[in-house]
Amino acid sequence: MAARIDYDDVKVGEELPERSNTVDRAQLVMYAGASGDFNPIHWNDDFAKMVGLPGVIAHGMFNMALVARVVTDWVGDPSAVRKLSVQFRKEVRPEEKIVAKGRIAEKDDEARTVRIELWAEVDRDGDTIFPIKNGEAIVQL
Amino acid sequence: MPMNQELVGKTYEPVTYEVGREKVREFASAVGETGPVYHDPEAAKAAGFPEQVAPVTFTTVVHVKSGPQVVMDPELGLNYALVVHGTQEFEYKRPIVAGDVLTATPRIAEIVAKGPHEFLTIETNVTDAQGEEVAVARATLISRGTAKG
Repeated sequence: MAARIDYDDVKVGEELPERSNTVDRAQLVMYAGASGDFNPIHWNDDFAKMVGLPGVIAHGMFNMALVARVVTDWVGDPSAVRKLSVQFRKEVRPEEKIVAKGRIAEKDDEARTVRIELWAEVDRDGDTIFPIKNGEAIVQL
Repeated sequence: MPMNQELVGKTYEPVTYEVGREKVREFASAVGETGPVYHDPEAAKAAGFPEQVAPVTFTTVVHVKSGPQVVMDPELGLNYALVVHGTQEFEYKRPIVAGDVLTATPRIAEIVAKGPHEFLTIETNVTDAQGEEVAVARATLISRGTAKG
């Protein structure tokens, strides 16, 4: 599969199209089943509260998948992704809208790779919080 | 109580995982990937892949199976109730596709204390049936408040 992006057209500082998702509980149950991560903090409010959370929260890896889509939707070819990393900083709760964003940070002319900075934002009570920070992808073009 | 530093470098039992088409579809649907290469083997082949392609974070499905033996290792002394997922990193040699028979081998790469917390990094090597490297996953788990005072 060919990447739809040409290396020479990529500009450092360019923002990638964002991807967003409004989290609902059915998504978390689906993700639990699909991933095999059945930690009850993602589907059982009583358990989540018992361990000090406000209620169930989204899987970090579910949020990471949205961040990954910023990269794969942009480049158009999942095999172009050489590396993907994120830091999980805050929880995301049901009914919250998470917006994943990316920006071209660096180009390596020799390797023809592009480094992308990645993060995710949620507006909570008028503040912007960052459930995912310092994310990074290396894409081969 | 701090984790057992002597386990840094310990390699655990390999876990084998066979990637099925329906599982790839299920995972793709769960993460909102609608691209035909994730759902339809013919579309994937037309795009130049050997088979239906798994979304890039599908590697999770494999290390969800190989990871428990590490975090539950009684010698490690990790209290899982105190753990939060700090960072996740994947390196890819090639995409995972349906039909792959993957082997995931976890290893404790690092245990470090920063302030009151300890950071446990588990590195999982994922190889295919031919023994070729497919991906490396590095998860750092934060054990809250367990560092030596």
